[in-house]
Amino acid sequence: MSLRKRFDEQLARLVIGEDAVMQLEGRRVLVVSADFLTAVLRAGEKVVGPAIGGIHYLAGELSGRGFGERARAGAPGARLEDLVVNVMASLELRGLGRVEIADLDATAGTGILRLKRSPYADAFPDRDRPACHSLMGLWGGLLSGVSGREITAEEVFCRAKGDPICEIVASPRTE
Amino acid sequence: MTVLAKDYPAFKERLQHILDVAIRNTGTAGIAIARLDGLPIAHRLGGSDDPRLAAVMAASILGAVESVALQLRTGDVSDVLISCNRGKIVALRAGPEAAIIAWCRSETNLGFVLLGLRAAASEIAGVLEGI
Repeated sequence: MSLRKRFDEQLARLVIGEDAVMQLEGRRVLVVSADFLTAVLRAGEKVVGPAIGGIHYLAGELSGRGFGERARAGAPGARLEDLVVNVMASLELRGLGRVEIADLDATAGTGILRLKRSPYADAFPDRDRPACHSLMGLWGGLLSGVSGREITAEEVFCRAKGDPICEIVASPRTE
Repeated sequence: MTVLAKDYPAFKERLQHILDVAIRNTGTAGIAIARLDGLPIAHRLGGSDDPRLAAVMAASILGAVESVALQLRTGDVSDVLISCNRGKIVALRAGPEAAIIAWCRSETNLGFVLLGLRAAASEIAGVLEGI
């Protein structure tokens, strides 16, 4: 199915009440510009320096774990890899940019997430370090939520530091 | 900061040894090493303490104080001391890429703790520089 068609289907599930609260699949959502998210990172860096990356990682992890646990609870018996792919496909439709998943073993909690147009990498060109902290956390958290294991993720390539794509590698935590 | 998988156990063991010595020499109750972006490197914490949070806090404390120092033009930050009514918290840089955080009881001799932690920070910086 084309991206456009999948997007239209997702859009049809988006509801907004007279109270101006928007929901997708029963959860509140906001349509915000990518600038809003990257501005939070930029402002945080001014206050706590690179440590804002760790804070964003934890936030992404919390969110990703929730996605994973809900996906698993909503489709008992489903193949774990399918759950991961579906969650990422849904996030792709929210404007994350094209994603590609490689070497995924959701039971083991390992897999590679490649992002072609991460909004963080777009916003922070010419950096000496990765920029996609919350997406790192999201990938680790998603695999944690789906696998039931503690998974950590590391961005090994990032367009923000001149790599052609962003690549995030997940593996079980060693401690 | 990249460690090859084959070198990882030895790398981790060296850092854990430095932390063990630091705890023995200073009497600190817990200690963690973090990258400056808040990701954990190694720790010696109690079972209920979350090493990921400790790591982010270490990097955040130093990062926030470094921002203040930059604004006030007071030079480089070497360590941050926090006194609480039931203990003390110390955060230090461990070379250009890492921070350490440790905490101890109120009655612990802070000078002693600082000396031990500075030595540990220097050793940790050496280990990280070598990878």
